[in-house]
Amino acid sequence: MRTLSVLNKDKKAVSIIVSYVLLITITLSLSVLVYNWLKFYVQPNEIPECSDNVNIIIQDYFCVPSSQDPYTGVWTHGNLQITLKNKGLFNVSGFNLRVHDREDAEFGFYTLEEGGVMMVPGGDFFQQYNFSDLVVEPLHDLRTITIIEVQPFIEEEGKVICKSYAIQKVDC
Amino acid sequence: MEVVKLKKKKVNRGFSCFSRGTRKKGLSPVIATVLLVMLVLFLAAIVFLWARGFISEQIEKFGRPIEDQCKLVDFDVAVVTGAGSQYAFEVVNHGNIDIYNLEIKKSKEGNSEVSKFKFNIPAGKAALGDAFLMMKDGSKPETITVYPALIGNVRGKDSNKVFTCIELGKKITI
Repeated sequence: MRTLSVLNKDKKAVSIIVSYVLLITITLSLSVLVYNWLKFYVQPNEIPECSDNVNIIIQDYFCVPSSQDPYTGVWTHGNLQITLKNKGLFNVSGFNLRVHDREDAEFGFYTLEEGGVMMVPGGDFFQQYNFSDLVVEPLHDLRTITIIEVQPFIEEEGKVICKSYAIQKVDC
Repeated sequence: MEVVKLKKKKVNRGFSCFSRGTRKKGLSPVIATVLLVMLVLFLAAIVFLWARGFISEQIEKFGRPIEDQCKLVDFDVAVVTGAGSQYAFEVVNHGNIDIYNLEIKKSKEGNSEVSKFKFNIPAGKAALGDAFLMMKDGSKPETITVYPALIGNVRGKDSNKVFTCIELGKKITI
């Protein structure tokens, strides 16, 4: 501004007030932009999760493999009798029970139960499942089973499947 | 008084180097300011367009960043040796979020190739599917790494995008 006045001109390009207003406006606009961009990443974590103290174990099982009649060739489906126990500190709303028939399987694949029953801490549950009772895809003609997997879930704003699950290798 | 006047005139001549004795000027201060502001805005636009390539798009799922949703994915995968180049995959989704597809990195002798397979597995479900697992040169890969991928919405746009959870890869030796 001093340089301009030296040139004997009284006119000014931008007044000090206008320049302040411009600077503040630009700063505020940038702040709003950056805030909106960052807000997306710093939202509070409100994802419902199972507690670490949810725990279901396979207390007992008995397995009857499928058998074929040597004369007629007809297969009789086997079954799995299983007793589960809630060893955790919280109720579970139900469980998924999966089995596999592959020798080297490391997880259950075919679903025998999808729902189960509510189990209170310390409570147990017995059920017999026929190998022909696969409830959901993929369907398969089970003759035996090599592994059992039980995964609990809780109902909290919808079905929340727990990360901890019981796996048992079985000799059927 | 006369002396003072002469001195003042000398000073004025000294500053008006562009006018060369006339009162005309090159640019008015207002135009100079407008030019400066335009130049700054133009440069800012160029820098923004250039830097936009470094900042990835924000993909959201259920109103949250899709990177957070990857934490809900929990899956198991097994490759059942199939006939020829086709392999059967057994995948169980133990998590609370649907897997949209699988990205498979095939590795052999330091080389790797990535393929995507449509493999939709809802939360809590299992799926069986086939995949072609040969390298481009027709050889069999030594190892494969299977990554789950989720689908989400591009924030601020009406489009979907697949996001691969690269920290959840499962390595399988074939």
